Amino acid sequence: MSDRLAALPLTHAILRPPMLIFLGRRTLLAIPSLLGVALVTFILMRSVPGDVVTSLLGDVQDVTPERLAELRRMFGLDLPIHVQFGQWLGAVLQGDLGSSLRTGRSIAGDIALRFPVTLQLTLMSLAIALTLALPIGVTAARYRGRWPDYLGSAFVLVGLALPNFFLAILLILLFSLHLGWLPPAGYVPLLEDPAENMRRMLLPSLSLGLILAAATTRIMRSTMLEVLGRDYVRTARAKGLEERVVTLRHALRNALIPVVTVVGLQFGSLLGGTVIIEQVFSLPGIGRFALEGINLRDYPVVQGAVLVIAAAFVFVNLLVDVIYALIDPRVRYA
Amino acid sequence: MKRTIFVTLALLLGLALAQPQFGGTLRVGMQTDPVGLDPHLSNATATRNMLENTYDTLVMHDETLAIVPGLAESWEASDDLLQWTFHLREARWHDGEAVTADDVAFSIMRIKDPEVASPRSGNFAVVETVEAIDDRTVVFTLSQPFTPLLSFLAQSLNVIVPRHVVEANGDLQNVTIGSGPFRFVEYLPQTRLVLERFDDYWGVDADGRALPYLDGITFTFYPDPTARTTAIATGDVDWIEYVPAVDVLSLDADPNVEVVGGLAANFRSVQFNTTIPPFDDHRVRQAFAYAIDKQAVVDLALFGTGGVVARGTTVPAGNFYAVESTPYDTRDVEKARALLAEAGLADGFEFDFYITSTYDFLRDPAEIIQSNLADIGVTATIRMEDWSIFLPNYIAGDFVVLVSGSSGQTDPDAFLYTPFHSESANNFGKFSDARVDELLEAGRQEPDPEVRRELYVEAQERILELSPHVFLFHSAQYSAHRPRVQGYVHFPNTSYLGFRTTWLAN
Amino acid sequence: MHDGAALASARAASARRRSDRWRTLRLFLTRSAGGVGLLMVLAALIGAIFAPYLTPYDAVTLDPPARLQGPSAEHWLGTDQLGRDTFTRILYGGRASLSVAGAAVTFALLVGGTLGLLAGFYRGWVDALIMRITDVLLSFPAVLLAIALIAFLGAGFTNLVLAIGIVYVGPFARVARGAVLTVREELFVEASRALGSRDWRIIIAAVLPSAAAPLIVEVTLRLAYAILAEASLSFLGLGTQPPTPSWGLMVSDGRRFLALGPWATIAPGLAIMLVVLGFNLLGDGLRDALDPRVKAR
Repeated sequence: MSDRLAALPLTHAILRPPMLIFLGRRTLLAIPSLLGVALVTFILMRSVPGDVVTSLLGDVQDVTPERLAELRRMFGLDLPIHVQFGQWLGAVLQGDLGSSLRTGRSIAGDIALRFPVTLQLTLMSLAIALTLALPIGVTAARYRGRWPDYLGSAFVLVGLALPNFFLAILLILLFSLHLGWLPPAGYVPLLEDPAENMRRMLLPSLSLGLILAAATTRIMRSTMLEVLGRDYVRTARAKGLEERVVTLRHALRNALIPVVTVVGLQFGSLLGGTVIIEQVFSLPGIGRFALEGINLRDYPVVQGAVLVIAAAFVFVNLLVDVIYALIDPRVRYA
Repeated sequence: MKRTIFVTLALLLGLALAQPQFGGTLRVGMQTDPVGLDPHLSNATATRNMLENTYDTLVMHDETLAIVPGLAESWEASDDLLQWTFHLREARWHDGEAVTADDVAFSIMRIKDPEVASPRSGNFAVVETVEAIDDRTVVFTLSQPFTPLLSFLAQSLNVIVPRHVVEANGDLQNVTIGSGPFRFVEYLPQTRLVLERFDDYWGVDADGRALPYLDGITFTFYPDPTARTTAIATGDVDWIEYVPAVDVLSLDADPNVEVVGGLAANFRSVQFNTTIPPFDDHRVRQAFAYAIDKQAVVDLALFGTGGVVARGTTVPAGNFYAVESTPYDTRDVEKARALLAEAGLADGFEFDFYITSTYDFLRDPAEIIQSNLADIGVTATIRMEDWSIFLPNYIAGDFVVLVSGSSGQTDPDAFLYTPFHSESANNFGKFSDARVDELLEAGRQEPDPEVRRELYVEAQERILELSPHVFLFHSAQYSAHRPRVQGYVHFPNTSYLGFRTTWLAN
Repeated sequence: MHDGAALASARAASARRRSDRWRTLRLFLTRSAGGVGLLMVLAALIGAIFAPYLTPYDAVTLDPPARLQGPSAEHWLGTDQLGRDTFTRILYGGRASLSVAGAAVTFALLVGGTLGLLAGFYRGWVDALIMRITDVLLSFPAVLLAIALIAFLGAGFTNLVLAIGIVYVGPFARVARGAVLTVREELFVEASRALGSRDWRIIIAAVLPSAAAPLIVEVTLRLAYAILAEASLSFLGLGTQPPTPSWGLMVSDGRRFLALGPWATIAPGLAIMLVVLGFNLLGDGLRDALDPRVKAR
């Protein structure tokens, strides 16, 4: 059996010295890019016209130019930008992301509350995407050029063309307003009430998951087609194995390798998608945190949120590389 | 059949005659999160509305906006109106400590303190000292007679806070200890804010029973208006704020939902920079006032239910100080054209019309005004920007004509002195008229409401004539609740003090 | 003279390509999907360009009594909350969506394509520098980067174009660089360099046409993404500003009245979907037709 996946002792491989070196190297390499992201975010945010002070003061009857200047001074917004960056970076290195200029809340604390929401949304979307994409992609490849293939293609084409916010609204229209089955917004923490949490996370996850499923189906189908044409699959067929066994046991396993990596790389677009979906469904995720921070010029919030998002992004890319290296023996840890 | 009718009748009678019942948690659907939890550091309506029942003010507004006792049971002013003495009732903080006169003095001085940077430090600019005479007596000394003092003390973000808690924590962003009917339990951003009944609250109802009736309040957040109305329609929550104007009628028709509300204290207007030609000429400003169809703005931008056409100035109709006759009541294009011609602008002109995209009630009227002005040959070039960019330009006076407004006023001084006195820091259009100044100053120092009213009426007539703003409308605000929610009272200053007497029928 | 030899060599190559063109066109048109995509894209373009002739209504003039009406003979796709005809606003909205997408992709093509060509042609430190920059661009999540750029630049047509364009510079640079690398070592380039032809002439005469096919495919597919990006930003209130109609903005505005007038939300959403679908089909069709490795399935 050409079963490369099963042959790999995964835990053992991770602990092997070359892999540790590879991991260490990649982690070190991530640091300058995170620093770069932090610096770019910092400069971008400070160059944006308008500032947090205006949103703080709220009603115009209580605002005067003097009071604005006074608040800016209190928040240190009148200092030169490199001094501000230095202060911020110094604090971050000590594990302090600061506190929101608007609410005075600890940013690290808020991120700890919000990150699980985004993570759950992302994981549920991925699960939905894979659950749909694998069978559809495999079936489409197996019945290439016949009606299951055409149906699969239609799913892919529509999915790739649907904006996620529009799909979200269609789902709300159907399941919340028309059928009244699921709430259109609001969040309940997972650990507090898992059933209610699922009820509220289902539509958001579907909005992202269905679209991701389309992209994944497309990759699944083409890799399956490629793998089905390979020698070992032909050999398996020649041995007289049943077509279903050939497809599932031999072809699918090998086709999964590129699919897993590509899906991993889709993580970035998934993170971008969560910004919009969290907005539509009023979820307290990290994307909405960043977006509100940007809109209200709450600089430390934006910096903290973007840093965490970028770190997650880098981490997932690292994870994909590791998985790829583990799966494909040709990749060296160079 | 008969039995059903009988039961229904009994239920109806029961409800009508029902005594308020204790118990139950009210689930409230809010529009947005609080902007910080320290009442002195925030000016956000959301912060006020969620915290005003956890804290108390020295004196309070009732639902007619009359001043009634709060933490102060009684008070008196010296003859020269420079010394105000307040006598505190017996009250406890949520941590069990007693509320003292020292806490009151500390709270007012904290709002005034420039280092604290409260957005309302100006509210107590005329307060020179606040002294605790004994544990339950506190004396304010003013630099000049200032009648609006009581209104500012009743503003439900100018609350009395516990000195020992502030000193232990630096600020009140992460800890909420008040003396109000509900104590703070938890806040999860964009998820919920939870309050529970405070058993040692000082307030009692008409029958002498200890308030509040509710065991607690859970606020959840629905920034999307459709989600908010769906939540009340499906019973996910018992009460929602800010019913969108477009949904007022349809929700009201729903037998499971009752809509409460009406006029709120605020104004929305077209504002001129009166130093920039041609708007330094009051005839041009008058022409705008005649040309703009206020009724169309309300009908179209606010769906007819979102506001009431301004019949006077900044002070809404129905207010004791309101002027309810304006020359600009009905649109008069001919008169507007004539005024422009008089000002030498018969051929019209073009101007930069500054709009914020952030608030739909300020944004949506712009397109209507633009088409109204086209009828008198004036071209409004709309420039739209986010509030965070708009506001600094607005307060710096860096505009020609814009649409803005403000809300939450309770005293005529806040409605009129703030935007129109030539010395006011918030007179962003730099309007200046000696007679208006004189009347507004007199109003600040006049304790007799009748005399004060005459002063403000004259000031407003003068303001209408000179037209530094075109007064468009006053926003209405509606809340909606399930029928089992009883005893909630709408406050025109958009305060949710009504929760103190709210109860749930079984 | 030396130049002449190089050009002759390049011309021979382009003659070879010309004979391929018939095959390409035939392949493209016989694949029905590509043709359908072209038709959808053309329909959207015609709708946007000739909007004033296709509808009696205006996209911004208000008509209060006609507010939130359902689809009818007068208003094929109903009206929005201010009484404006939805069909008309979709036609005019296409102008915003298509022009922003078109300009953004053009920007990305010019900047990214040039960077990629330079990187692939010169290799060495130029390549290293340019690729490092594109790596940084690609390591930001696209939507967040665009949002941050808009916050920085402010809303408005030019800034929207820049924000979306900058995000797509990276992909174009990669595609162009890849294409150049494959033809770089081809004999005629080596020959013309040996003969002392000037760099820019080689690029124009030989490399550019070879890189054109993958770039055209990339342009078509990126247009689809750019339309989605413009719609997303406008949906968040960061893109096209009212009263100018744009599809994303229409979905966002209509959402407030979802229960009362779902058509005002659904119609512009479908418009986005159909046009993106059209560009995707067109791009796939072009890729199949232009890529010699793809054989008829």
